[in-house]
Amino acid sequence: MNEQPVVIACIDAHPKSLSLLRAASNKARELGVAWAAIYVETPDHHILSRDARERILRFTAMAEQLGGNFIKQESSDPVSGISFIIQQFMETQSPVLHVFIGQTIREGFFNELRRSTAEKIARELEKYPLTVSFIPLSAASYTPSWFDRLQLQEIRPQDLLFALLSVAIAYGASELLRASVPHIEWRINAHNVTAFFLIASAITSLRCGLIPGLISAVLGFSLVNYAFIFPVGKFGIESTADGVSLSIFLVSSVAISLMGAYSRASNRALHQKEKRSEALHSLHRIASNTDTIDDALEVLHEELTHLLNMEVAFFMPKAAGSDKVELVYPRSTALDDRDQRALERCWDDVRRTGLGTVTFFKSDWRFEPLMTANGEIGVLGFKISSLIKLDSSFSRLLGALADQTAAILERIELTRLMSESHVREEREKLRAMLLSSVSHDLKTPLASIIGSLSIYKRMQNSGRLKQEIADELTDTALEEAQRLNSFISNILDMTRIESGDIQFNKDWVPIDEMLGQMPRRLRHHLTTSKLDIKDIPSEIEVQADQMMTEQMLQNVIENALKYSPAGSTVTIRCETEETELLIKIQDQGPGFPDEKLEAIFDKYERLKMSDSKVAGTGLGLAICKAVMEKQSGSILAINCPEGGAEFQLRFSKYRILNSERSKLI
Amino acid sequence: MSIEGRKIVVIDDTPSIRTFLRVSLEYEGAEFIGAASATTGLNLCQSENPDMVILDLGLPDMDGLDVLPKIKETQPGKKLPVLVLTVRKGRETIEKAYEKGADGYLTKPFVIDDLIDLIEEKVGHAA
Repeated sequence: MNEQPVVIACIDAHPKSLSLLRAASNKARELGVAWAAIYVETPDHHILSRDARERILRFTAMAEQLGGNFIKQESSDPVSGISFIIQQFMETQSPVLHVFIGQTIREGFFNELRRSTAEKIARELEKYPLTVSFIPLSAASYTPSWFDRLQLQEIRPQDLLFALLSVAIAYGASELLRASVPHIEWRINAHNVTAFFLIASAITSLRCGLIPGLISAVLGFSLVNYAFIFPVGKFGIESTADGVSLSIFLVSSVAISLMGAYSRASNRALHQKEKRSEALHSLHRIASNTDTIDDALEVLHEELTHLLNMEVAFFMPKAAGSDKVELVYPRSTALDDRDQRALERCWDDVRRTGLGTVTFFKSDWRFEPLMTANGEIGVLGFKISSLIKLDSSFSRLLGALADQTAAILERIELTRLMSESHVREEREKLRAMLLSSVSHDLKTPLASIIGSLSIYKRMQNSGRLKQEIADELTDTALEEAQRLNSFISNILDMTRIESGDIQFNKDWVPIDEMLGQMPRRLRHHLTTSKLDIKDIPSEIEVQADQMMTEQMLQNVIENALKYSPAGSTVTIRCETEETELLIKIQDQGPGFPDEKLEAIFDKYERLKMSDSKVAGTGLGLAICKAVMEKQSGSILAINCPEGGAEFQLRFSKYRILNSERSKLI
Repeated sequence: MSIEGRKIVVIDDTPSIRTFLRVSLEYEGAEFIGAASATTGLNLCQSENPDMVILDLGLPDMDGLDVLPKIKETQPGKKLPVLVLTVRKGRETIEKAYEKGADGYLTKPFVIDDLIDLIEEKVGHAA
């Protein structure tokens, strides 16, 4: 029988158990074997928080999504539960090759002494020929001890100098006191100078920390003993009273140094915490304003580099579904072989690697996985200079920054997915609208043409076609064919303008010439209404594409005439405003409803109407708007106070020629 | 079959459609009554007591599908055939039209013979 080896991930309710699932799934894929996740349900399961129990359920689903089996085992404790399952596997034809165990990182001296469950499991599994990998999970909660908070850090020379100086000042003050009080008084109260030295060590520890504080305490003690306690000029104590005083002094000054150092450390920690949370907050705020992953990476890179004062790099899979991460921001960065391996390990095992971790600790880089609820999305790399002390708080900061970065990137990705599907939906809706509108606008004239021609034929076949009926039918068909033609031209124009197919010339075009030919062009529309072109100076020219602009003017004026009641007049005026020239076309029609004044230029406005309007209408004004905008101008419609609508065409450039039309003014 | 003498109300806002329908119906000997809007059409159905209505669905003041039952209501107790004439050809629209009482459905464009046949089928009488 063939053996079917497996890889096992032992999980619990720890929020980051997900990384165990991924690690096991990656390993199984690499080895080409199956994998399973084990959860041991101990009696404690029932006192887990609801969140924790839901998490387990999520992990079940996740394991199945990643192609693994989920095995639940009831047992009194995790170690024997896991051991039992592995034994069962070993006894069947499925030897276990690799076991992944999550390890909570314990911080603090005493915690490190305690053997973790992970280690107990590892010891239990030693009897089997399999590999055990620990995946570090961050501690669920970490409370630093009093001693931890003292932060014994490096001592700078200036701190030592400060300790010496403070003791020297205390000594000076004591000498001054000695010189200024009578000898007898001094003999009795000499031990009181210890107060000066206490102040010195308190200030030193507050300013410079524990070690300089202790140094100043010991130094002060020696100096008091040597210079102020009998026998003077020697180390040694004559009287018991002096001995007691000096002991009290020593104890108090050490205690003061400790308290001072602790207070300083707490203060600093608080300050640092505040600064870091501020930095995290500002990071989130700044990155929240970005819309694309690329922008966010750029902003995050700038902020993180600035905040940490170190090189930062983002690594993500470039192609969808790729299981390799590549540098995505900045453009280039120097990773040597070891760094590269640390990066790959970070991505594959979903855990921090590089400097300050157990894996590839010799690398200059620290890699943090970018984890979201939907899995790992990339890796954040920090190039850590040797000057930076990688203490647990700094490690936590890097972890927090990685989490924050992941959250920001995930939000952007989700937003993008949502807006993409929204855009797709809108586009689909628009397409459907366009289709129904176009089909109506094309089919209505066609219906008239086909209808007219078919009745023409029917009548002709029966020999009963009268001349006047024939004329009426051919006129109808012809008119509708022309309407169809104009509609198709409009659609094509609009498409060509929008796609940039039509090249716009920038010629100087005389206004009077352009407007002068309108009555002739529009003669068919001038049967019931009049066109009144007010005196247009012949020397004004606008910069425009002559052909397109003439066509557009004709469209606008035609539109005005169409809405003019019989016997009314459409008036055209021309005005100049600084660098701009305005052509105003005013009719005496009903005007537009106020809310429609902008919409009439919207090409989709036509689409929103049902199939009730006369074919070919509506797009004309949208084309006018497109033409004017292509020429850096604009078109606007207003309702005149005296009634009727007015279209204002604004040209961005005009010039006035003198009467000989040669000199530019 | 002939539709001679039949009174037919045509509700369509496109003038050219009304024109050729008028010519066609009059050629067949029927009486043509045109309306450019649903409101006018409904009034005519009430006052003219027509034998049939030809209805466009895209009307400026009302949707044809909503006009359909109203036309039927103008002649209570009498069967007034309504023929829908439209560019809409979605199965859903067609089903809805029949649901609301349409007696025939013809999509534009069409040749006149098809329309005449349909009218004859509904209101034709032996010549």
